[in-house]
This record gives sequence, structure tokens and C-alpha cells, in this order.
Amino acid sequence: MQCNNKVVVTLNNVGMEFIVPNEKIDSLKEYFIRRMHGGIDKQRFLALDGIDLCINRGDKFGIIGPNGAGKSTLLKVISGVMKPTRGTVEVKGKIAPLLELGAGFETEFTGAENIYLNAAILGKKKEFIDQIFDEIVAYSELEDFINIPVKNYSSGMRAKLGFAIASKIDPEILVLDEVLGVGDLRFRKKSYDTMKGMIADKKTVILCTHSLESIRELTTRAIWMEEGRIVREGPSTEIAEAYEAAMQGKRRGRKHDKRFVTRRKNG
Amino acid sequence: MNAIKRQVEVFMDHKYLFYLLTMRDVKKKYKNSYLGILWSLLSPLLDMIILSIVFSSLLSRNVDNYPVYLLTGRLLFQFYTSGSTIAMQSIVAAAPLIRKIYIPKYILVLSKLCSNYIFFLISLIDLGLIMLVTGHNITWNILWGIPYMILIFIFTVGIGMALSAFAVYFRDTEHIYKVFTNALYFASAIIYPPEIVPQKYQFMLQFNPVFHFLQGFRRVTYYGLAPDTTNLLLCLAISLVSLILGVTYFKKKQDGFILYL
Repeated sequence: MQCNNKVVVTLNNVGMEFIVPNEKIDSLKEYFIRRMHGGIDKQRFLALDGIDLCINRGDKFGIIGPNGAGKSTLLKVISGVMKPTRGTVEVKGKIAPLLELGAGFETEFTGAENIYLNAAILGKKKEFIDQIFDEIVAYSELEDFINIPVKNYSSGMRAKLGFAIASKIDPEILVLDEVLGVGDLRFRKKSYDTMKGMIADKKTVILCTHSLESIRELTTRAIWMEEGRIVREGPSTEIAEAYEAAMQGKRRGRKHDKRFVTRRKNG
Repeated sequence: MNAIKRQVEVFMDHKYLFYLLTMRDVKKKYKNSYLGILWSLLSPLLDMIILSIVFSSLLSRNVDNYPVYLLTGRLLFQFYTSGSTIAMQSIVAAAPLIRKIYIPKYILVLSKLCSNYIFFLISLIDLGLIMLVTGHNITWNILWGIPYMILIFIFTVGIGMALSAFAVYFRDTEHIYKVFTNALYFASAIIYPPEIVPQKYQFMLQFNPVFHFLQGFRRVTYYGLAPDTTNLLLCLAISLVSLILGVTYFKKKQDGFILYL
């Protein structure tokens, strides 16, 4: 892939290997019992395998692939939530996710307090939040409820508030894990339009999805992933077409994932 | 050098978040409670009254002004246990956040410790109050209590960081630690003077790091004496070792948290 001088995200031979115990051991008691009974079964799982990638400033970059292809892991590696076990990741500029809305809500607190907390979690300073506070409240359509605790909000209201915060904080690189439909029908349309607006902007957007429609409509470049590798990359229309054809071609039964390597560790 | 500069930059970027997280815990504690901040004052006092009734006649030959003796030990100890316990749970509790977005993880631990330290500072009002009410002899040496308060904070940061990382991998750490702190309470000479412990059991006090902080603090506050240099240096050494080990362990483990949360 050609990296030019406007590159903002560079991945170099990135690999992510998980060690998955066959049974989850998360207490000292279990750990010692297992040790005494000889060994803990572990499997290694390569979620990402040799990923090379450049994303340039202003790219609308799509990631498509079947379940378990490693799309979400790739996003986590890019946004710094996970450190890859191999290779390097370089990111210029601030990344903000718009994944699973309202993660940082403190339900005992009011909506207003939560706006500050949530925006700060997304890396914003007080002065900036002061400036966009009114905009967020107006966009969320929760003016009458902004001073009551979030625990009294309906789930739709929480989602609205979360989306309003995420969409107004204006990150340099926006990471979207599936295009989300939140709130009632009208708000859903509004949020979809906002998202399209953000994407139409000069901003860099990385979108990960199952939906061919979103890839075609919202992105310009894309990669197609399968079993932790990049199968193909190029203009998104081309990728969407190839992916669609391939998916229709192989309606295969699920075979064993080659990335699992069993090993028994005696301790 | 560059790494340190980057660390400082990252912290400055999250300074406001750090402040908000700390204040969140402070606010949360006093929300939904009529007495609010008074609870932080009331609970050590009630505890003190009960223990004084039970023990002061028993120990009247060894300790005069038992309530002050008790508080000078208990308040510091309370900060250590509640601080390290809440710090231990901080990473696991923030799992939904850590799974989604990058934030420097030590901020989660440190904000818990800071909010707890604020509760501790508030509870010191009790000590001042009881000292005045009982007409305790207060000297300028009481100001030497401040270095001890700083040192026990550093000590607790180290322990809290290590425990928070450990608890990610072993969730039952919490229960084991609770038993441990219970035992520690009785091995720290809080409710009794250390002299009444028989010689052959004195090592239990000496090997308990928290005991040395309490002794030093008590010497300058309760007894109003100048600090014992050996003790002060020992506390400095203990807290630095704790900090270095805790931070090193945390740094080594933090990239793996996400796989276990």
C-alpha cells in the first residue's frame, strides 16, 4: 500500500496473539487447584496476522469482513486500547471512538455532569467542553432533563446523550464500530445524517461494519479482512463488489478456524 | 528523558479527567445522604467512643487520653486500608471504559487514592476537635505530622497500584486482602500501646510497615515530641520502595489488562 506524506495511521506488520485458556481462570483458588492437578490448557489465537496499513488524512476508510475476522481487534489496536504483540502502530493526532455509546456514564449524576465526565474521558479540556456544552444539550433534545440524574433516563435518552457528546467533540480521527441507530426513528435519521456530515467533512474516519451499504455509501477506501489477514484492499466500491461476490459464492459450513493452535502447558 | 516528557504530556492531556474522576468519588459519597460530609466526621468518632468505653479503663495505666491515642493511629490506618482496597478494585471496576478507549490507566487508580485522601483529610478534623476538647497538650511538633501524612500516601499509592494490577488477574484478591487488613489492624498497635506486646511477638510489629508510619505520626502528634530521625528515614525508604515496586509491576502488567477484563 502506498503511504504518502499525509499519512495519519501507519501499521507495520502488526500481529495480535491472544492466549486463551480453555477454562477461564480468574481466581487464586482456581489457579492453585489447577496447578496441583497438573497444567492449564491454553490455546493461542492469532486475531491479527501481519497487517500492513496506511490511512491518510481525510480518508474515509472502511473495514469489512465476516464475524470474527479481526475487525474490532484492528480498531482496538489502532485506537490504542490494545498493544499489538508484534509490529508497530503509529498514529498522528487524537483518536476518538464512537463505539457503544455512553460507556462513561455515572448514573447517579445528572446529564450535565455526565457531559463533562464523558467529554473528558474522550480527552477534552474544560474550556472546550464549556464551549460546546449548549450545542450538545440542544442536539440531544434533552433540555428539560439535563439536570436530573441519568439513572432516571430511558435507554433511548441515554443513547441520544451519548451520541450528542460523541458527535460534538470533534476528534481528528473518528473511529466507528458499526453505524449505530439510536433513539426513536426521527433521532435515528438525524444521527445518520450527522454521521454522514462528519464523514463528508475533511475529517479522517475509520468505519468497521458488516453492511455493504455503509461501505459503499460512507467510505472511499476499504479493506476486506478474513481470519486476521487483509484479503484485499482498494476503492470501496470495488471491495464491496468483490466481498459480496465472494460471500454469495461460498455458503460453506463453518470449518475449524486455522488460527487456533492447541498446546498443553504442564506446570 | 524523552519518555518522561511524553508521560508528563499525556498526564497534562488528562489532567481535567483526573480532577473530574476524583471529584466524582467525593460527590458520590455524599450524594443521597442527609448527613453528607458529616459522615466522614461521625464514623471515626462513633468508633472512637465505642473503643474508648471498652478499652480505656483496661489500658488506663499505659495510655492517658485514650481517645486521642486511638485516633492518631486509626485515622492513618483507615486511609491506608480503604485507600488500598478501593485502588485495588479500580481497574476491574473501570473495565467497560478500558475496553473502549485509551486512557492512562494509572489515572483510574490515582484518582481513587486522591478522593480517599480527601476523606482522610476531612477526618483529621475529628482529631483536632478531640485534642481541643480533652485539653491535650499540643506542641509545634504536630506539624511534623505532615511529612508522615505525605509518606503514607506515597506508600499507599505503591501498594494500591500493585494490588489493582494483581486483582485483574485474580479476582478473589479482594476477599483475601480483606482478611489480611483485618489482621493488620490488630498488628499495628492502634487500640493498644506497642509496649504491652510480649518481647517474642514484637517482630510482628516491626515487620509491619504500616506500624512504623503510625508510630512516627503518633510521636509527633500524640506525644508532641520531635520526630525520631531513624523512624522518619525508615518511613521514607519504605514508601519509596513501595512506590517503585508498585509502579514497575503496574507498568509491566498494564498492557495485558485488556485481555483479562
